[in-house]
Amino acid sequence: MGHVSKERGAGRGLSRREFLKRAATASTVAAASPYIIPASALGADGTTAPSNRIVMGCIGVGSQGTSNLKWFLGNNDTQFVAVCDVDGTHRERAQQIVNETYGNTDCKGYNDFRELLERDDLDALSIAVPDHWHAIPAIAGAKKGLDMYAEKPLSLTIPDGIAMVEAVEGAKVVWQTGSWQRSNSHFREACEIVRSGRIGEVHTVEVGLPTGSPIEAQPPMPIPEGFDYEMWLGPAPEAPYTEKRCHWNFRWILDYSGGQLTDWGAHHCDIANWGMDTEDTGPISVEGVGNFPREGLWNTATDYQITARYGKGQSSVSPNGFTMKVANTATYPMGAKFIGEKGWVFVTRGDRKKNLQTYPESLKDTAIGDNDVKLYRSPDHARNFLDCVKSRKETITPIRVAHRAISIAHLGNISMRLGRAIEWDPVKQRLVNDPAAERFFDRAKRGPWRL
Amino acid sequence: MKRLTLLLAAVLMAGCATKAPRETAAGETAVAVDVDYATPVQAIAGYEFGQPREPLTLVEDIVRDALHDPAHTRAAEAALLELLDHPSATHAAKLFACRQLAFVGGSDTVDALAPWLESEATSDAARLALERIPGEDVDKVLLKALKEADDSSQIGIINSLGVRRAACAEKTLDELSRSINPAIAGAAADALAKIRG
Repeated sequence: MGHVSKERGAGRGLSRREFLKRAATASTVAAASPYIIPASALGADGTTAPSNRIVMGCIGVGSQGTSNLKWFLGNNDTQFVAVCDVDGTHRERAQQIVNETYGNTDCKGYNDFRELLERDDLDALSIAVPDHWHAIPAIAGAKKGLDMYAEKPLSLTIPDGIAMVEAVEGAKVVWQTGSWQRSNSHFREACEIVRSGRIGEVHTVEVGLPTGSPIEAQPPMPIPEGFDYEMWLGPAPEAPYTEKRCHWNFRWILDYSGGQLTDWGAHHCDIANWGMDTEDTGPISVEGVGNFPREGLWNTATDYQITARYGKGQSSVSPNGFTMKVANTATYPMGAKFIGEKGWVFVTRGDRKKNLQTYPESLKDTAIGDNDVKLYRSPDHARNFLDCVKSRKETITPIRVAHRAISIAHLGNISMRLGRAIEWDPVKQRLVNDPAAERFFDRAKRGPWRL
Repeated sequence: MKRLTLLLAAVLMAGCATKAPRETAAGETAVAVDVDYATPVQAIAGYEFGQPREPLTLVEDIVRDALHDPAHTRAAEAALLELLDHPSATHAAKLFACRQLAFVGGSDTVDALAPWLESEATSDAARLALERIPGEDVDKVLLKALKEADDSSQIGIINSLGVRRAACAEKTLDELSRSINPAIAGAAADALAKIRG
């Protein structure tokens, strides 16, 4: 296939990672040879030689996972060899996409991610599974020494996230979270304006996220042919199959996710942290109020308002502390708005002209100079991951950053479900003297699953 | 939502009498509370998945509201434990009760759910509650159940001991880490790693 084992390769004795790193920076030398070697094997004509490609597997190829797969396939230095999904329809579709790309039938399909991880030819994984499944394959991948691009929100619970960070950082593998907004330049520009002090001390950040939706009660249904529902449930509590429970809609059920608050909080709370320089800390108190559907299958909050307070010295942009307010679009427009003493900056998705707004307006085109804060530049989120696999540098959304962003949303959900404010120690990452809130902090996993 | 909750609570309170003191498993005398936990909890005994969820949501509300006061927490716990013994309580209702006992369960819950740990059909449900209840009594119950539990349930119990960092289980887990059953050996090794830090 073109995978270079740890024993072979351009440098005998080099590890696979070292080989990829050197190949990324080495110039191409055409060797004199009596054999005819296809140009693609030598990396000519814009292709990358198979031995220089990052060998990847996918765990989870539903809608987001397939989108990510196609994104990666658009880079000529990847080689997908395996896809895994508990839904046979998704799995076969992904295999077909890979095989059509390469013009062969080499891509292997797996139902069980553990079997995929037994392969010894992988360099990296693309993971896109429901939130309740985020931790287990990520930790397993780290133990195998595999670099990973994995979807947001990072985790289902804060303890899951802490374990994931420990595993990934301990294994020193490259991690990119699917919080791709950072790789859109106008989000970076917005944060540079804030971090460079152009709006003065920031006292409030307003984060707008989508409103959730309820659904009526859903009857148990026969499990579709080829869908390993028992594996899909995995560590989550037993529940009968019904169509609106699974695939995209797991997001609206607390057993598997945290609703719009976590699904989109992973994006815009991350931008809020980036702008406020709070990527390695967290709030000291959180108070949430919300409406949870009283009926029907979906039970995550539809309307919600979370107030997260940060103390003195936690943010370089707010020496006196600040408040992050996260709410659905009944309260704030989608995006992040940084409000300071001297103005404000608002940023959301879409074209820069309309979706990066400042007051005063002139701030928008302010030049970020050598004495200002210049943030990480990434031209493309998948490309950034691949480049970092080769360079072994940190990506633009490393795991610890994703963990802190989603912790805000997790604390918001705990506060809402408890019906009152909670205090948080962002250094120890523990609730402060709150036995009742502790009961909501984590949840037992169904056997045999564990971190 | 709040208005409906208050209305329903008012209806329940209007029809209730102060509960007589009751002795708990810990030998304490339960303090009477002025909220009827039993009626809404018993009302969900026949719940099946796919049915209207409002009666369950009402129980979630009163469990949440019970957390503000230890006497109310004990009363809510008692009502949920009575549901587990209800002769016609469905599996779905009992599973829901276990999930709520994760928030209000105490020593009475530990005693009631200990036998549930031994069987594959009920072990995971029991751990939903037990894993969240603080205190060494839970660790001891989990450890004791290991001896009687079927293989499938053993792995879940071992996992919970690891999550809880149950020091009292170290010796047993060390032995189990050498089990000829690789799944049990692996679970025990992982749990030991958590306990030993």
